[in-house]
Amino acid sequence: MQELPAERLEHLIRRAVAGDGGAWRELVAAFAPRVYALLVARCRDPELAEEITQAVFVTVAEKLAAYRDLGRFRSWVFQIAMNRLRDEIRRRGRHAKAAGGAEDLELLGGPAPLGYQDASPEALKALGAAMATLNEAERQVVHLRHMGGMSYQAIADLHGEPVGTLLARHHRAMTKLRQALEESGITLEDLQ
Amino acid sequence: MTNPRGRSTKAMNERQPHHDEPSVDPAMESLLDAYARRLAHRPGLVDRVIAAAPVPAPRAARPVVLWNDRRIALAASVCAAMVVGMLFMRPAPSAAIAASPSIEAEPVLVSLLAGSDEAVLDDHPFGSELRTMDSDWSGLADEVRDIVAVAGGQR
Repeated sequence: MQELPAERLEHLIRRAVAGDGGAWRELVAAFAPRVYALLVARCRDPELAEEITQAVFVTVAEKLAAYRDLGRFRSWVFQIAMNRLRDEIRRRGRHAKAAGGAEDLELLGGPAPLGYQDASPEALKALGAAMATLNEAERQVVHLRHMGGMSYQAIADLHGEPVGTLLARHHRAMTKLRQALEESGITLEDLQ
Repeated sequence: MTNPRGRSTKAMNERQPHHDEPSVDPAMESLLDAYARRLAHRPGLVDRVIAAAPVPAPRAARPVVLWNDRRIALAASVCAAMVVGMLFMRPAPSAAIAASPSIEAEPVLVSLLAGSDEAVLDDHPFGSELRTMDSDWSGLADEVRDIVAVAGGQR
């Protein structure tokens, strides 16, 4: 998942607002997989994650013309996604699945995408299981950082917390994940 | 500088990770990237998203705004701000509202309330004031609920 340079992103937004279908496709292609990854990591329901991803981009399309804060486009999109997910989980109440790790490969998108030198399925499954050892706050920062590709500053803005607090939480989460992986027989250095 | 156990602060800092910097763990980062790529991999997702959310309609060219219109727009904005401000400068109706650090109101909501039976918009030389018609705010609260319900498509 390639990051769009800021200038390119700004250009695409302006073109999309002017009705350029190619620019809009490029924007969606750059952000929808990230949004979907974050949502499916959070709700563990691929159908719901896709449904919310579509709703997010309907909102983005409707409000893009009025959007001014170009430097925070990514935060804006993920904020919409997180709000939509929260609303949907509230609406579904106890029927919503708990946010945990994506232990099964179906949730992990099935076979590896073509062209990627992927990690072993065992390592990915073990990482999915290790996610369940994190508490909710730790899991959320890992999801936003690694599934959503957000900067620490953007996550801090989203949560209204100091960056240092998030960094410490992320560090604790990484330590827990490494320990859980080692306990399940996965040595990270062997994967490189 | 030494601590009570005789270990230098520098030596302790070397053992303790600095939590004010991103952790650099290439192996873990790499595995998490692979995990994220697998989660993000959903064939046809982009096409379905674009089908659901087509390219935004081009913005219509804005007509040239005359200075006179701008003045009117500015006056309307100031008036709306005063209405909102004065509405919430009234004595707080309950301890919960009094304890709230801030209250926000939508100018649209104020204008809708002004057209209802529960409130009246008074004009003053300094601006407009929205007054509720009931003393305990219950009718106004019901009116707000009705407006929100209609806006949310529940009625």
